[in-house]
Amino acid sequence: MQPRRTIKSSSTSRLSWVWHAPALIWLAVLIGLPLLSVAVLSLARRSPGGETEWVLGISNYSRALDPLYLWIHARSLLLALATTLICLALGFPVAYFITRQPSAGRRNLYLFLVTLPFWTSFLIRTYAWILLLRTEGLINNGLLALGAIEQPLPLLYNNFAILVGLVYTELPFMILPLYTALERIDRSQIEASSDLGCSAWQTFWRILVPLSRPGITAGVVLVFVPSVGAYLTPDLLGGAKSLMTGNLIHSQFAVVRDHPFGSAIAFIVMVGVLALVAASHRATREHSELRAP
Amino acid sequence: MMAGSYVSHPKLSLFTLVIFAFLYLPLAVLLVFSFNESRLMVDWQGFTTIWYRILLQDQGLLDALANSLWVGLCTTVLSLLLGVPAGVGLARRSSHRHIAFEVLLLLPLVVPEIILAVAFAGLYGFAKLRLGFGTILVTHVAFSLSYVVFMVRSRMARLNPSLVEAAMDLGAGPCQVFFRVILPFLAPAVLASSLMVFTISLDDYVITSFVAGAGNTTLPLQIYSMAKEGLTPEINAVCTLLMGVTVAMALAAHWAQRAAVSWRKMAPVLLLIAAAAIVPLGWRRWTTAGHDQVLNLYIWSGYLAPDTLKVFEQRFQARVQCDLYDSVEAMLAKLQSGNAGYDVVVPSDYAVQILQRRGRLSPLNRSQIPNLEQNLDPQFLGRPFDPENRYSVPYTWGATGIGYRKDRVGTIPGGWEALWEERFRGKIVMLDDMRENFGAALKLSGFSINSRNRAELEAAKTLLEKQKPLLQAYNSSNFQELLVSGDAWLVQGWNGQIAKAIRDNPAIGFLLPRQGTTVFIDSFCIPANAAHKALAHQFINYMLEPETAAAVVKATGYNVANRAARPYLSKALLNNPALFPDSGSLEKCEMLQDIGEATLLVDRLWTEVRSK
Repeated sequence: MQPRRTIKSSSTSRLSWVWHAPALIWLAVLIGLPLLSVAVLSLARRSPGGETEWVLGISNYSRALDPLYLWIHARSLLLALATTLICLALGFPVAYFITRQPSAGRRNLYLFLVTLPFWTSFLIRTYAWILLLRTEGLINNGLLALGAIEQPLPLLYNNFAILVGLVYTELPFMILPLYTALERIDRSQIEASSDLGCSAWQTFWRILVPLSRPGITAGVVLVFVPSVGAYLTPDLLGGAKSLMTGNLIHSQFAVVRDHPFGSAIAFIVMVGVLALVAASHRATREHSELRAP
Repeated sequence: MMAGSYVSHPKLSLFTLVIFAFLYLPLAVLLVFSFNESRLMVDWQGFTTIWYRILLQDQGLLDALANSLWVGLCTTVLSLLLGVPAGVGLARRSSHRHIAFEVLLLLPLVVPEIILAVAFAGLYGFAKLRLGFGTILVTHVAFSLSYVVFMVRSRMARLNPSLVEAAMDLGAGPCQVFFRVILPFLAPAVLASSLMVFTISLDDYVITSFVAGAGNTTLPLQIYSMAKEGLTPEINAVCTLLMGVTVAMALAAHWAQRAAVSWRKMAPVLLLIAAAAIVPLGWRRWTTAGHDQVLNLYIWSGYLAPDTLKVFEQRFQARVQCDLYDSVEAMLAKLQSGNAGYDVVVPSDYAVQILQRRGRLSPLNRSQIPNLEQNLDPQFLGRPFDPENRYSVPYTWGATGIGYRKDRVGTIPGGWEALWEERFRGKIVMLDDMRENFGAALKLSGFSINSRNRAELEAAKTLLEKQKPLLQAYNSSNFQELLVSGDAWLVQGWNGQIAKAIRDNPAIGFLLPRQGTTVFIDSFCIPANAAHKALAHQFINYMLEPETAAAVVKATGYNVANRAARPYLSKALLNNPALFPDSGSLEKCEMLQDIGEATLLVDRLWTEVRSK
């Protein structure tokens, strides 16, 4: 805590609002204002013809708390959680591997290679996965030809396919923040820990994880939050058979044209996710404060 | 050098290799299929470079690519300019003093894209902004900023404060501290977040589709709208080219660095290469802009023959700027905002009604469209959505039916019950469309597709629940490919797509269920604030000419509401059952209508079916 105070009392901090004022204004006008109007919209109601009537009330919220919808949210949260954990487990070693590359050029090249697949279109990547996972697709045909399986595996149009799609889409959003945190760790600390007889596993838990905590937090937020609202992946790879939060909201806007109800659901989800993120921030902060010498 | 026992651990390298294989596996598929002779991405039929040649002549796709790259670059630069200082500023203060800012940063990530999209469209409509490059850029920066701020802040948290103090003790001012100490320290975060922002901007579809105006189609918009007619390897080719160029640039930069060429020297070279790649792509657009009369057309993808627009441009000395859409809601939202700048749109039946009711359509001057009465089939005129055709001119029509693999299913009953047969378990695909699903179930029980009766809808729901375990998927996007590949044997689908599938694979059949089904009519309309109304009328009249209409049928697989076009069609087309269903089976068909309050009930029942 001590060092932070030092910076704050320095001469630059009096002007520190200058640093973030432009971004703050940009976000206030372009994110705050439209969303405020959506908040108001969530209090209106749908006319029989599908237009919005400005008769304000909270009926949309009581409707949205129906167990039918809550179960859908629970399923989405679970899926997002699974996506996040898998991304963390897969992304951490990769990010670490990249930071251990001897030259900056090579590290940047690897970072670039992590994002490159995502410069294609989401749709075309997803179609490629469909080609791979189909009953008569490349993976099944390959395995059949090798004699590894006798019946095609049901790979497409189930939760497994959704998870593959989500992990694939979100992985770079885990690897990049982890990289920026791990890159900073002094190699001598790792060497010291192994010199002092720590196993690789102990070094990982005692040195790497605590020191990369800001990166882990950033990565978890960047992966978890968009996963909660994902709707195209469940549609295209899951065969639209199980409804997710994102589908629910999307159809209120795109199909049912009940914008007020859609906004109400979105607001509930928004507050829920913000609360989760805030709680996790607090938990990590307390945790690191406890551990601080 | 490589100290520490596991720094170069082989297991770690192996693991990374596996992850990269996972990341690049779909890309390998994409690359291979860009050289495939078959139009459908189903199986390998031989090597060809024809898709690259087609791509190089597809000005629409190239323009979209150029637009996307420009938007991506500008978004990245602007996000860094705003985001890096903000990340630095935030990291230096305790976060609880900035709850409002924190929340504003998290919101773009938390809020589902569709909500942001609607909110943005509402804001720009309210502010009367002309939708275009500006609105796309401003929006992309708004939802990308958070990524920069988060990454920079998490990096700043690890900055040793004594470095800053030391610099200041040595007499450095705030600017010097920022540029000499903080920025170099932040370099990895800046690089990582630029990659992220560029990626996000390049790939955004949902929000962009609501805030782009006439002539600003980005690559994802173009690709999604092309998907309706089935993605062709042309898209693979454009993605492969894009990646090829970027990989070449990255490798060049890498080698230059190893050869100790400094970044300062490299950066201009790289920028030049990038500009050399982008400028020719957009050249035609920028040079011709403002010369001729321009017609801004907004139409479903796959609704034009390849030279439909070229012939019009030559004959009327005009230029057509054509944007494609694939979702009614995006189209409605844009016309709703009133500033998208379109001159001709092609909404479906019920959308005509919605737009007209909201005062977004301009009444037509019938005397300028003589072909309407001369050539159109009277059975498509005077339909309930526009009884006197004051606002709309029918263009194409189609019906929902069942496509099936004759070689796999044997004989099937001629009605909707075929999609409920136990022996086809796992081989049935239904459209991912609430009204179409209920439509099939309602017709199967003998009710109207537009039923508002609770008991009837409940009965339909029970049927859909019974059907769900038999289904492979709900799919509205590439069902015809599943049919061609043999993954699905029976699909509920729109006739145009199935007509194309029949052309690719004669083992596919199409039937209009004997209980009846939904039909749709897509019509030309002129938005209320169109800038080129005279030209718009000329265009509509041109599209109704028999030769033009016949070429459209041939190219698209959809039928036109044009009687005069029939003599121009080949026997093969006239005999395609999906294109010309026998008119007896059309009698029981209905057009989807807005069912008012009952929409909420159907939605609720549908949610119950799908959350089982």
